[in-house]
Order: sequence, then structure tokens, then C-alpha cells
Amino acid sequence: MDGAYVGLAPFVAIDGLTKRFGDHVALADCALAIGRGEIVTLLGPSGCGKTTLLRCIAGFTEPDAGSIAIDDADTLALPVNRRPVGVVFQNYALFPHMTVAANIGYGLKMRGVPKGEIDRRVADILALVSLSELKDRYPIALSGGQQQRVAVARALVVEPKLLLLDEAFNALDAKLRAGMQAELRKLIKRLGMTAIFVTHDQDEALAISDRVAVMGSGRIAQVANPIDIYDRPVSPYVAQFVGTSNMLAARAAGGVATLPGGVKLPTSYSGDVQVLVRPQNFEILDASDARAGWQGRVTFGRPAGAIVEYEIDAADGTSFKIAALRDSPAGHLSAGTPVGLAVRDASACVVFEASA
Amino acid sequence: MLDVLARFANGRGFWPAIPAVAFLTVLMVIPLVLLLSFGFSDIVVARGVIVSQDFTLDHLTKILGDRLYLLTFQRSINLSLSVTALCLIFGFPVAYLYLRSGTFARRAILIAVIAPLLTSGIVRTYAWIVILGGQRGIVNRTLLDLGLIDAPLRILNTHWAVLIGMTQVHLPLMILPLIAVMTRHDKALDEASANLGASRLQTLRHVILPMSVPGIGTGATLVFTLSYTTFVVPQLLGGGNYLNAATMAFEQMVYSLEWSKGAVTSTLLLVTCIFFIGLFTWASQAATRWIRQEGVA
Ligand SMILES: Nc1ncnc2c1ncn2[C@@H]1O[C@H](COP(=O)(O)OP(=O)(O)OP(=O)(O)O)[C@@H](O)[C@H]1O
Ligand SMILES: [Mg+2]
Repeated sequence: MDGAYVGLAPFVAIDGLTKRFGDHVALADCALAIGRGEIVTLLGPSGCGKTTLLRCIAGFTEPDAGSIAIDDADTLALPVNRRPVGVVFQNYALFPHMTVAANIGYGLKMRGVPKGEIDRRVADILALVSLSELKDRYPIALSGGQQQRVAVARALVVEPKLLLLDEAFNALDAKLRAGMQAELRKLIKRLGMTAIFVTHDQDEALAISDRVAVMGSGRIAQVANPIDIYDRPVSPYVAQFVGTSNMLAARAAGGVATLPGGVKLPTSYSGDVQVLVRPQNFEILDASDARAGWQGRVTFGRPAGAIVEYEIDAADGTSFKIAALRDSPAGHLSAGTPVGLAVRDASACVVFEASA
Repeated sequence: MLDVLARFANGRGFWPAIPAVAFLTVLMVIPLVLLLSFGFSDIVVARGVIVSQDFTLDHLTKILGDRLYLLTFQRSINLSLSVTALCLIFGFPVAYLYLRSGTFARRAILIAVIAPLLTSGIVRTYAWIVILGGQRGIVNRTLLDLGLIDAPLRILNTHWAVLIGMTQVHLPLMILPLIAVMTRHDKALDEASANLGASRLQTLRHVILPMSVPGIGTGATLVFTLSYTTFVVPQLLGGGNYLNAATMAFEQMVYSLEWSKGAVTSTLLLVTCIFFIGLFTWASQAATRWIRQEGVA
């Protein structure tokens, strides 16, 4: 697989990880390999097991089966407080009764680091996350963004081998979120830290990570770099979870699937298939244009920055989600306009088995 | 009158407190002021009616100069502080157990803590007479039967009996505020602590204990106040020869009918008690600056 981990022995190796809560399978045979210095995001809908996987790595939850190794050392054998893993919790879990400096110094203190060295290292990391002036405040007197930086600094100062972040940006407003994502990615890369982020926000996953692991009901559906996840999803599930997608029914025979309008797609399947066409891979034509594979009417158009997102209903009831540049001829269609549709680039379509 | 009501109504919503304030004024503040006034006046009673009541500090100076009072108050303070400390020492582990327990065990602990409160303190104190008392008391019989002692220990009617009984009777009042704190405790903090390298004991010491201070403060205030002012337990378990300040006030008022002396004793009891409550409150506030926003530099 294209986005699979390539290299020597992976820095983090998770294999066969399984966890049940009663009858409910939260993790089913999960495998994930992460290279040193890589940022991987676990992306999936609510309840798919992302937090459970993270908690197994940190040691808060005991898996029923499987193995986790970090830097070639069996991690499951270690007690929680000896794992080389730093966690940034969903609501940060800052100690409310400690100042910013005490929160950050806590891990060093527990490790018996001498007072002078604690002060020095705390001061260093405070400067790194630009929080030096706030070191004597209690968490109650910090903004959400400041709390997040304290949580990150607290996890980083003990120099873990692996950093885990569970929905680390959820508590921040949209504007701040984008800024913090970029800032945190830069910081992690600068330190050469290996990190696993958890999110159900695909934009966040695509923005922050080297590779994305899409999860669905306790399984890892695909691990790949953000571009491949979007362009080459391995299943309709991944295709529909990441980005907007049109799934079109078609038939395949003799190694070729054919879409209306004569678009031919090579495939190894035969019989009924589904074809993924992304919104921007449609061309909007005049209703009378001979190249059109589908005829339909614009239901509505929603401007979103430089593009317009249209919903177009075909005569047979199929609904298409289509994006057009706003300054193109198709950028100003009003509802009810009859149009024709054609696929621009056959090679950007992905064919799936219909049953999948 | 109307503007007072108006101020209450649109001010800070004091009006729901009016019934309680009125109740306390009539049934507590007025009698208390009357009582205290007895301690600072010369009362002349003729045919059961107070005929004159002149201000004097005689009673107070006499009592302050009397070593017996000093010793009695010292004993009371020692006893109450010891009971408070013992309640904390026995109570905190119970609250910690509660924190670490599942739903079912939590309910069981709560019932076990609350159940004794449903029986009167007097009944529970009598139970201690059965346990500690003479040759036939459970403690002595067990120790004698086991051959650990040759002669029955004298526990009942001593300081120790009062200490033991009072600790047991007041223990729930320490545990309940602690449990209230534990119920609100965020488990993620324990996980964060462990993740940062702390052992369970270190988490207890550095996270759970300091965060329990508000509960400790409330519990200590309750236990101290009740231990300091009760005369039931000392009378029953101390066997009449155990004198603490509350018992002394009670006897002066009820048995020897020395109302002025009793009033001064009560006043001193009240003032010292308020002093200790203030001390606990101050200590608790000092240890919980993080709850307020005073961390802002
Ligand atoms: N302690 C538990 N006991 C029982 N079931 C649990 C427990 N923890 C998680 N689950 C279940 O396991 C599944 C996975 O939960 P998990 O918290 O890992 O989801 P998630 O992917 O992190 O979701 P979200 O995005 O909502 O945080 C859920 O169905 C959840 O109900
Ligand atoms: Mg989660």
C-alpha cells in the first residue's frame, strides 16, 4: 500500500490490538506502524475506538490482545507511570491547584529531578511555548489556548518518546484552532518528536499529519498520507469519511467499468461496481452539450470562498455534489438551471466493488 | 420598610433567607444575647423575678484568674483537636476508598457512613459503654479470654473512653464532606499524574490530598465544633469525673444554678470555638488559593 510505513523497524509498532467492553468490540485487531519523528492522526467518527487505542498505548486501558512496542521495547509490560509516553488530554487535565510552572514541573519532580534543574527546564519550555509571563498563574486564570499550551509543555518537558494528543483542539474556537495546529506541528517537528493525534475533524487530520489512519468501528480502515487518503481511498467508507464524495453505481465487464458519457475506467472487478467521483472532477456543461453523461437541474448553490458548492439532481433522482470555481462560467448558476454533467479526469475516479 | 424589602428583592436576592434569618433571630440570637448578658451583670432576684441587673466584669475576672478554668479549657481544646485529627486519620482513607471504588462499593460505603447518623448520638455512646465497660465489656472480655491481659483495663470513665467514643460518633461528619469532594474528583487528573510518572501514593500525596482541602476544612470545622461543645459524650463515657468546658457550663447552669458563672463559661466556649473555626477557615483558604483567581499576577 502506498502510504504504508516504509523504513527500518518502526519506532512505534502496534499489532493485533483488540479490546472489548462486554459485548462491544472497541478495537478489533488494530495494527499501526509509525516511524521516528512521524506525526500520525487517528481519524474516525465518534465511538470508533480512537480514544480507546490511545488509552491502550498510554496504559490507562488494558487491551485484551495484541502488542505495542515503542523503540523496540514492549510497552504493555510497563506500568502506566513508566511508559515513555506523554499525553495531552482532551480537556487538558491540568492540576487546578498548581501554578503553570508547578504543572509543567510535576513530571520532573515525580522523577526526582533536582529542584534547580526542574526550574531551568521549566523555564526553557515556558519560553518555547511563549508562556513565561504566566508561570505563576493557576489554570483557572488561563484562556483555552493558554491551557492547551501548558498541557503540551507539561507533556513535552519530560521528553517522552511518543506524544499522544486526544482531540487536543476541540476546546478552541475555529480561528485559534488553525493557528495552534500549525504552531504545534512546527514545534513537534522542531523537537523531532513522534506523535499520534486523535480527531474526528478531517481538516485537522489533513492539516497536521504526515499520515492519517482512518478508523471505523474498531478497525483501522486505511493508513496513508493525506493526499492518498483523499485521492486513493481503499474503501467507500474512507472515501465518504474524508472529503465530499459522489458514489455512482456502474457496471463493469472485461476489466472496464463504464460511466454514462462513455467514461471508461480500468478495474479488476466485474458486475455491479461503485465509482467515486470527487466534486471538483465534474464539468458543468450546457444541458444540450453532447459530451454530458447526465442531465440535471441545480437544486442550490452555496458559495464557499473561491468555489461554489452545487447540489444538482439528475432526472433519475441521483443527487450530485459538485464544486466549481466561482470565477468560471459555471460559477453563478441559479437554482432550477438545467445543466449537463461530465467527468473531467477518468484517472481521478476510484472504482469499488458494489458490495463493499 | 418598603424600601428595605425593595432592596432585598432587587438587590442580591436575600429575600429567600428571610424566614431562616427571622427564625434564627428569635430562637437563637436573642436567647444567646440574654444568656451572655447574664455573665456580665449582677443579677438580683426577688421572688423569682429579676429586679436589677447591673453591668460588671467581676464574673469574668474571677473565672480568668481561676486555674481550674484554664485547665478545663485546655482539656477541651486538646480533646477536640485530638478527635478532629483522629477523624481525619480514620476518615480520609474511607473517602479515598470511596474514590477508588465502583458504583456498588460506593453505595455501600455511603450507607455505612450515613447509617450511624440515623441513630442518636446518645444511643451510640451507650453502645460504647457496653463495648468498653468494666469486666464484662467486649474489649476486656476478649483481651482476658485471649490471655493478653490479666486484669481488666480501665478504659471506661477515662479520657480514652471519651476520645474513642467521640471520634466514632463524629467520624461521619468528617467523611461526608470528604466524600463530597471525592465525588467531584476528575479521574483524568489521576491519569495525568500517573502519565507524568507519579506512583499511586505520589498521586494521593500531590493531587488528591491537596484537592481535598476544602472537604478537610469543612469536616474539621464540624467535628471540632461538635467535640468542643458536647457534654453528652463526656458525661456518659467520662463517668462524671471527666470535666470539659461544655460539661462545666452545663453543670453550672443546670445543677449548681450559677447562671452568671455558666454564662461566662459559655461565652468563653463560644469565643474560643469561633476562634478555632476562624483558624480552620483561614488555613483552608490559604491552601486553596487556586479555587479563586488570585493566581493572576
Ligand atoms: N470504559 C468503557 N466501558 C464500556 N464501553 C466503553 C468504555 N470506553 C469506551 N467504550 C466504548 O467503546 C467505543 C469506543 O470508544 P472511544 O472512546 O474509543 O471512541 P472515540 O473514537 O474516541 O469517540 P469520540 O470521537 O466520541 O471520542 C464506544 O462505543 C464506547 O461506548
Ligand atoms: Mg474520544
